[in-house]
Amino acid sequence: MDAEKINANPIIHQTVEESERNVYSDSDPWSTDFLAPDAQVGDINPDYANANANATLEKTPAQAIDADELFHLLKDINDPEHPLTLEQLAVVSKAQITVDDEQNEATILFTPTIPHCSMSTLIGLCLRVRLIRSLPPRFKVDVRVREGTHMQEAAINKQLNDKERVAAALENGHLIDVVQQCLSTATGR
Amino acid sequence: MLIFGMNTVILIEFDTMSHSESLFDVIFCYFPITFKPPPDDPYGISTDDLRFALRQNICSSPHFAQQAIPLLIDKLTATSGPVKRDTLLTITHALPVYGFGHVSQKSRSLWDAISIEILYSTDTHTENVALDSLQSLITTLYPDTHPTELLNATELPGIANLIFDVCHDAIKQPEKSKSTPAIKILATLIQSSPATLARPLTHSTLIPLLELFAVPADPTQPPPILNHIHAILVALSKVYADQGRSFLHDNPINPSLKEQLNNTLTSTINNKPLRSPALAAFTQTLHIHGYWDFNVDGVQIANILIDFVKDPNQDPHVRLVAIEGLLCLGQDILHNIVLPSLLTSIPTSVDSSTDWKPIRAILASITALAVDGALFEDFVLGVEAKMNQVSGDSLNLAYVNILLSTLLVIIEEKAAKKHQDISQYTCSILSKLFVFFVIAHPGSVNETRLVETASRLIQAIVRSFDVSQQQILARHVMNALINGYWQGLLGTEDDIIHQPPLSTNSTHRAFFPLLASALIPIKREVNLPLASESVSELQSLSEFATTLTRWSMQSASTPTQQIASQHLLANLTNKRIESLSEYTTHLLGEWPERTSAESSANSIFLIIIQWIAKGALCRNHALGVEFVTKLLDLITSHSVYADRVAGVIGAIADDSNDGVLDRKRSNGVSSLLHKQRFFDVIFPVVVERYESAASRSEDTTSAKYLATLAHLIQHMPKSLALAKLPQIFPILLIALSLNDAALRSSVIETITVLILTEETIAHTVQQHMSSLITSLLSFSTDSERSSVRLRVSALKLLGVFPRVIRKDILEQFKLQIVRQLVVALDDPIKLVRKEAVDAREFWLQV
Repeated sequence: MDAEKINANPIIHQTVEESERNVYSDSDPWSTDFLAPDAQVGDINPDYANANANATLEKTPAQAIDADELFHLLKDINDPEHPLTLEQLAVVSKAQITVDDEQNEATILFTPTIPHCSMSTLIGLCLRVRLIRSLPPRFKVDVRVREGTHMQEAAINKQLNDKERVAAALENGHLIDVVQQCLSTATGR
Repeated sequence: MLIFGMNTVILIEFDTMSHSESLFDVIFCYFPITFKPPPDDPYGISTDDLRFALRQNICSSPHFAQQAIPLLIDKLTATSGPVKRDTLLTITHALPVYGFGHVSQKSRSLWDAISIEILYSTDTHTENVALDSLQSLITTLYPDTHPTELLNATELPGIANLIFDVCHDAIKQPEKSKSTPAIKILATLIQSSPATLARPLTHSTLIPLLELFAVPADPTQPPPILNHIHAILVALSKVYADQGRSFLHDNPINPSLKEQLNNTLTSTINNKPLRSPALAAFTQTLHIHGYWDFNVDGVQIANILIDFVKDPNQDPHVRLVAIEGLLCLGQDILHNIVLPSLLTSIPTSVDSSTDWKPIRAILASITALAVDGALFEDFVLGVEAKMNQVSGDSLNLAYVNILLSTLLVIIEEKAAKKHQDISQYTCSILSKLFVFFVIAHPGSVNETRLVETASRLIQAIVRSFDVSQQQILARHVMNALINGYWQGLLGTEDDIIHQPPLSTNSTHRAFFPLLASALIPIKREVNLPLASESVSELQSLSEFATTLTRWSMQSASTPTQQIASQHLLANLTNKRIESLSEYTTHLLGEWPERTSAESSANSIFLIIIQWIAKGALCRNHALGVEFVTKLLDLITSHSVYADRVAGVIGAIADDSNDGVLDRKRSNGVSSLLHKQRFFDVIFPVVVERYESAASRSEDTTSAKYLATLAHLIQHMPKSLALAKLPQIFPILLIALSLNDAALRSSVIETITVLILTEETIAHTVQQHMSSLITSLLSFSTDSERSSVRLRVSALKLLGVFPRVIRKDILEQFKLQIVRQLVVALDDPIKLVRKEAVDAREFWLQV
């Protein structure tokens, strides 16, 4: 089994859950939210809590698409080789995603686990397909290997950002199946 | 099935030594079972039934061992998915039966086969089953006998030595992906045979890990090392969590390792980046019974952990683990050290310069720590002391509010755990609470947020009282409410008389919500004393209810007071309708006048009716249906309140009642299937009225009936809704055309729930697919006009279709949906975008 895998024993990175808003630092002295991390107080009167949530929801101001949101779209994609997500393998990370909502631009850099990884193009393709499917078409998306992390960096980058070649790849039934397999973990958490 | 059953009996009851070969042939030819039950199978035999029966056969005679083990190993490597798991389960059950002799001969190949599933696992389910098989293998091979003195696992006899070798290699690089399954294997071994394996394996695993931790070869190593140490300690703590097995007798960790481990962990706890895994590992040592002597070290450990619990800037996970650790230390240390320290750290009163963060962190910790017996009493006394000392300004009232909220959370927790001692400790705080509001800080009663919390707390306390305690309390409360005599409730000797809250234009009407909340949980068998000591003219419960109704319709009543009186009236109707006949006659008499003109008093009346109807419905009383029929008549008679009918009837059908009609929360009367009966009666009536209005093309009237139907369907019991689906589904679809965003979203949510619970609905949905999809798409892509909730619910429902609808139907719509949802991908709200991405992805996968 080992022989088939290009990197059979990769480093697993700790995935950090988003540090939520510190519940203790509420400025309203009347707030009792801190007591209900598991919504115990809300349980006592769920209708009230619901109505409140709905009211705040409707008042939410417009939120621009940011790196955080993109990272959430990408982090649960499976690695083609391992039953591990790209976040666990640190292939994608928040710091390497830049988004400009106004200019309609997004750049994603990814880091292959090892410099000679032949799966890099496939991973890049998965990222690209995911973004084509889930970002508004007004965005110009740039998916690239992070500088100095792969031996054939230039070749891969060229392949990934060539519209024709991406389109051709997506015509390939087998390839799209593999991509679909990797993406299946990204939805419906 | 029958034959498998018979086989088991034969194999267990008779000596089958001489026939084992032929029996093996007839039984094992069925293995593994890949049978799939045909649709509409009249016998209802499932694959798992067969698997289980065959497994029983295979495991019923040790004579199979010689032939069976190679066969099982063979099948294990050849199969996948559920069949592989079946094989592993069979191995798990068979090995102990086949016995040490046969198993030890094949141990090497068994381990090879099983280990692949763990070391190269593809899904956690199979991995866990494989770990169970490994446990069975080890338990068979290493019967738990005398504890060993061995420290070095490389000197272990048999297969364990080999296993350790494999794992030892893997954990040399603790940050790599293979180390995790290796540690799982070692932990399983320790749990399987603690006497023989725990000591050598623990030492041979932990010592190199600790050495590597001290001098890491790579900066990424320390956190995974701590996680691995944690996993080993978890295995040990599972074995030695209670006195069942003696830690001291098995002695799996010798003093020098213990010292090394404690030093590493306690010093790492102070290192912020590594605190979380180090503390988790440390807490596991507290779980191991016998590892620590709490009489000696308990106080010191408590002091380390308390600091984490108090610190509001601490990672919430760290705080939870620290609390878990504190709870291991036992009642004495919590009572003597921990709680006093926490209670003194929260201030006696607050001012504008107070930092609220530590107070909140400490109170949140207390909700987890002060649940049991004496500890709860400590906290109750602490709260009482603080309440005595605060001043009455707004900030301090907010402080009292969070103290009382904390107390409420703990009481709810105790009630959930069925503790019987709530009333024992809370009796005193009830009168303290009233003293606070009535005497110490009379102004505080106008602070609705505090009154709301206090009311809920009072309800929770009175709920825990028994009949005799409630009887006394009821008398005191009534005395205060009707006569203004407070001394009973306040527990004082002197007479304390104010204006009765319930009298017209009373200066004390703001006290009503507090008093009402004490009455709501009173049990039916408790007599509400009205006439006994009363100086007022109220002679019966009916008169009391009538007075209360008038009182709450007065222009002086605030929303809080109105809600409290609605709750109390619904609760009284529910429990004591027998003694309220005059009151209900009064309400029915007032009805025509109250619904003829719009005024604030009349609106309050309508809501009171809504609550009375709820209370009556819960116990299947005809009054509920009578009021609902009267409400429907308002639509026909074009009353000024016709537009409100749909909402009110929906609220009546709604199960939620703020707990005031609940059997557990307020000792309400709730008869079985009362909702079904209500719908059986009301639903056809509304449908009929709707249809006749529609046929006469009275558009406004039929729209109101339609809205009523839509409100009713949302609260319909699921089983009933499913039975009536062909009838209600078209109604739901038409209701989507009503221009009411909230109603639309609830209708969509109802459809979603129905589809997800019962897939047969899909058939009905398919017939309406095209119109449904058109409306859903227009809702979800119109960020200008539809509300956020409507967009989210429409997208959710769209995302559900690919799971439940036939593929050929889906394909007709795929292109349309995938194209149009692009618009929703660019929604201004993040939550909507997320749902759009998911829905679109599901459709793309069609």
